[in-house]
Amino acid sequence: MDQDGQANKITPELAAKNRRTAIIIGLIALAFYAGFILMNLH
Amino acid sequence: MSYATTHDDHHDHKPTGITRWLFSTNHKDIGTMYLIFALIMFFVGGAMAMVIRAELFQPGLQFVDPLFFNSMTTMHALVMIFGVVMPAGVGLANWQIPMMVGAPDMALPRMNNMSFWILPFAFTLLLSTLFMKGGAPAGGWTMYPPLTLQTGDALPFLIFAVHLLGISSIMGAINIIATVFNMRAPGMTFMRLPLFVWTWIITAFLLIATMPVLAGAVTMMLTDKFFGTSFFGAAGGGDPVMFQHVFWFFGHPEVYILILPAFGIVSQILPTFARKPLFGYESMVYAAAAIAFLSFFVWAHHMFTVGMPLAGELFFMYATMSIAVPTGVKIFNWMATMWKGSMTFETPMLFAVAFVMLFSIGGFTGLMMGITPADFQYHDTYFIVAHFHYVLVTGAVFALMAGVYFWIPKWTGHMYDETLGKCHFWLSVIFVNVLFFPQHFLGLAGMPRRIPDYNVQFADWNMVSSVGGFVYGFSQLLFVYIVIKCIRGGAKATDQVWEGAHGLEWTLPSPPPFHTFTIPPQVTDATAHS
Repeated sequence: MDQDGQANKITPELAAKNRRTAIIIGLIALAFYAGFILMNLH
Repeated sequence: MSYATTHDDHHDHKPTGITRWLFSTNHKDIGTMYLIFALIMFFVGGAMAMVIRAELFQPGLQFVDPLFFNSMTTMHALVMIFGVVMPAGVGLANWQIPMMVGAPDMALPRMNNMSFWILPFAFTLLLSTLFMKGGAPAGGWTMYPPLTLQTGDALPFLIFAVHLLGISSIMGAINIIATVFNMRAPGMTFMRLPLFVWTWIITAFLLIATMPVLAGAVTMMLTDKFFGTSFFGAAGGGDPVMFQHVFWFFGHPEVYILILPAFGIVSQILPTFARKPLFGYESMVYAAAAIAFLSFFVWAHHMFTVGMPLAGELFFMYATMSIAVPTGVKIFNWMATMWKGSMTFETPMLFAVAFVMLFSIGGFTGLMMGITPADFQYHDTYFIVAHFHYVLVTGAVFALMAGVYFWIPKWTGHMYDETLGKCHFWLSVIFVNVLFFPQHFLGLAGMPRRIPDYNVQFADWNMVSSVGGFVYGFSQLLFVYIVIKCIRGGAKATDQVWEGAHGLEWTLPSPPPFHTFTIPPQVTDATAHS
């Protein structure tokens, strides 16, 4: 849980965490994309 | 919760004019745009279905030439899958997930805006192919090479549109995962999440894992066509069957991407109108996760007739059968939820109950096809068409309709017209069965799918099916009227809307303020899911 019960503000820390989550998942998706193409190279 | 509400009202500023929608970062507005887009595309895809059913009304070629007929089946599928069911599901997720988990908005609001606005461009590209030299794509939504490589000028447009749709879906999925993982209100533990949120987390992970696979497949097809590679060209050492494997590695989980949010919607509605908590909440969560996990190991059941080693056929047959176990758990739990409940049958409940019964028919015919030797008979017949329309129309579309009726009083602050809603339900449920049930008979009698003409022995049931299609199609205009009427006015909805409704979204005013939960709610067992 990221909120402390005082305010539901998007703190810089929470925004950074959201961005980090997005980048990690985006990179995973990109890896799947490239992986499936590379797997078919022969 | 009144504390949060008062605070929200005070800060309820919202932009006006076209910029409110173009540059929106508000989850409610973006959800609305997704839903309106899906509704428009529902009628675009529906018009294509009307062309198909008009042509099949009687044997012989009546209205369109065979190539255009094939374009209609291809485009109808692409529009309905990527333009209707998926965006409608994301629209509901946008509206509901932040309110259900007690978050002020989605985690990545600007990306949310981009996810939506990619869609109209992608579908402009796709639909523009109808006016191109060589016609729109006509090789089926599965885009198998080498057939699809014969597409005229439309091919790069199709491929680019699929890439855009994939990017949009992945961004939407990232947003949902980030919202649920990082933005939940204090006390909203994972096992207190409403089932709709749970099914969407699982769907989001499926999207992340499979949309890149589809994008990879069409990228390889693009390079085969325009850059001299031979991924799928046998003449250059490639393997066309490999495309089918890659496509269905995406394609089967895609079925669950379409249906899992529907499971979530129904799991919210049944307890509300049965006035009982959902039976077996935890088993529902694990069953949804199990269905998603197993969906990665069944793809080749779409390819039994292509030919594969016996061990492969057996593996994919048993893996397919095993999905019936967690699905059965869900059906059992829905029935147990209703068992001895104080049920009332408002329109959302009618659609949800119809979903349970009719989706089960689609599930059972799916099991029939999972049996390898039997599938050799059913493959590429109208039996398959009947099966997946039971899953996707009486399954996914009915659940989406149920969801709209369930939540629209919350969104608009007005009750919809219950009498008209019930009329819409009964017209839909009767004529959707007139439309699709006879297709089982046609398929078992040997009528192939994707053909504009057929033997006279299939004439009667095709005529019945077409009549069902026309009435079902036109009765959906009633839905549009009901929605517009509800937006414009009607009886005032209370905050809770439904007597048996539980969960954070029902603690907000109807309609909710532009910004909600700016003060986080404190979630306890009492205020969590029903």
